[in-house]
Amino acid sequence: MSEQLKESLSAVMDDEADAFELRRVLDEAKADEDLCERWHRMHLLRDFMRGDIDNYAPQLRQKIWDGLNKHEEDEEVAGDPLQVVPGSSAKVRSPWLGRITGTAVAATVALLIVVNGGFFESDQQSEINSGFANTQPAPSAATPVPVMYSIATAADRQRMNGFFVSHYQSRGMNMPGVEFAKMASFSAHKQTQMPTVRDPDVQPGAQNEETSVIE
Amino acid sequence: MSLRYCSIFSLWLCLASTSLVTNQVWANEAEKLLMRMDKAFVELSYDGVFTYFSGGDLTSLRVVHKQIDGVQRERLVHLNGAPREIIRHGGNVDCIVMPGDDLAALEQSIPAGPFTRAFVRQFDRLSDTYSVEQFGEGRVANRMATRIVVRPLDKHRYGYRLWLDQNTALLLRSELIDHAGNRLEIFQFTHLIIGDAVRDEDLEASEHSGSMVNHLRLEPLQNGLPVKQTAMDWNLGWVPPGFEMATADIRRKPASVENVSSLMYSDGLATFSVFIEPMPKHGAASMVSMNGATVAITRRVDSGQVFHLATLVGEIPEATGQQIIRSIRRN
Repeated sequence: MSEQLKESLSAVMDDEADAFELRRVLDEAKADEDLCERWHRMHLLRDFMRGDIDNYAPQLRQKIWDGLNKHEEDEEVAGDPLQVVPGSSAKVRSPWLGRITGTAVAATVALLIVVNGGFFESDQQSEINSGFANTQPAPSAATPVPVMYSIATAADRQRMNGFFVSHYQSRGMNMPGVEFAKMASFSAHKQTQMPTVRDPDVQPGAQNEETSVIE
Repeated sequence: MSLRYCSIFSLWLCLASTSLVTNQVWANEAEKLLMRMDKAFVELSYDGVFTYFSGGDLTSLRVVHKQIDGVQRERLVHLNGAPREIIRHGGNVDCIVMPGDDLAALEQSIPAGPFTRAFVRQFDRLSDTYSVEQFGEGRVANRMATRIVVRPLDKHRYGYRLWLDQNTALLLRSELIDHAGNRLEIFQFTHLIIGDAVRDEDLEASEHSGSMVNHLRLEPLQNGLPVKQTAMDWNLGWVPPGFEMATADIRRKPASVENVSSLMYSDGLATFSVFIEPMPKHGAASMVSMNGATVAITRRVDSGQVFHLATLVGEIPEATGQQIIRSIRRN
């Protein structure tokens, strides 16, 4: 086994692998018993350290592989802007959403690998709910607290758009031209190309903390 | 020896204080210029083409403005994309768009109710939160301009660079700048006629076959009316220094029976709005959205067992927006 592969495996374990790296490890593991063995050992070791030694995952590789493929199929469905996602009639996915979920593939699957319980415990649990990261769990009777989910639906974006325009309007008809332009140019392209939306928990890159460098 | 140092020191002090005084004078001059700029927008006749860069997009528009018998007349023509014009005649606004235009669709999604026309620009309030200085000269749209730099004094607002026409104080170019020095928005005239050469007929809409007209009515401006904060269910526990409430009202969304409370704050230049509505039945996305310098943040607000959804939209840094939206309280 190459050093590079070991590093890749380690990255997968640490939830740091990208989609390509993950696929590579999965692919290699198909033919490489050493790799499979090592992977199992690493998991066993970690589970042991966490006191979860009872958990054991047969056909780990195949399950992750299936989960990955299923996720991509879901994504293709979601990529069709007119396709209504089953079970959520209010949500219409648009293509840009695909890009966001695309970057989330690795994280999602890697998360499935490292999450204790559930996946590792169950021989009977054959299907990975790989879409869990972007579906909105229905509020159950036990928890009446409304859900705040992290991926915007069409309804969310429309509401946000309305508030953008409303803000521009309120901001001032007193500055002729500019605010109108702002509002109008906003609506001109934002229906097709939305403002960048991101999960507020994910912090953007380190910002320059220097105050005012205006000349 | 020590005497010599002493005299050098006092000379330095003297020089320093002189330059302080000069700065003060300059600042006052610059503030006066800003006030002239505001008047120029309303009182001057102008016909020009400007570009507006925001959120990675560049838009070109023509603006024709004239004040006839005390009535503001204005025409805004989009020069890119689908034909689209906005004609203002006093408080009446006509949006002339092609069928299926997003703008028409968007108008309907805007919370109904009066346009709250806040006078958000109050330059006399700037001195606590910004420093305003003249900074040399420039040339924009083939006209000589005076440059003004408006620097924020803390991290809760953005800065501006402004180019004002040397003869008329009309704004020729403006840049909105974040704390790292990035230009978030640029507005700039590329061609401009000022004065009597602006023709009345250019205020009329041009003919586009098949276009439709959306009519809006702007409510008369209620200037100087105090905002009744007590009338609102909500208030903000924290706002950055210098921000004061400009408007507060309750609107109704056309598509539903739910009311949306809206609060608007301004520091004289920057503004932010907070919208609070009952939590949608199926929850909502917790998200941060950017359009140029405008940030929008949604967050759930819990008051007892009742949940609301708050959305903040404003030309302020995201961190500041987060801090504000976390401070929302129910009265």
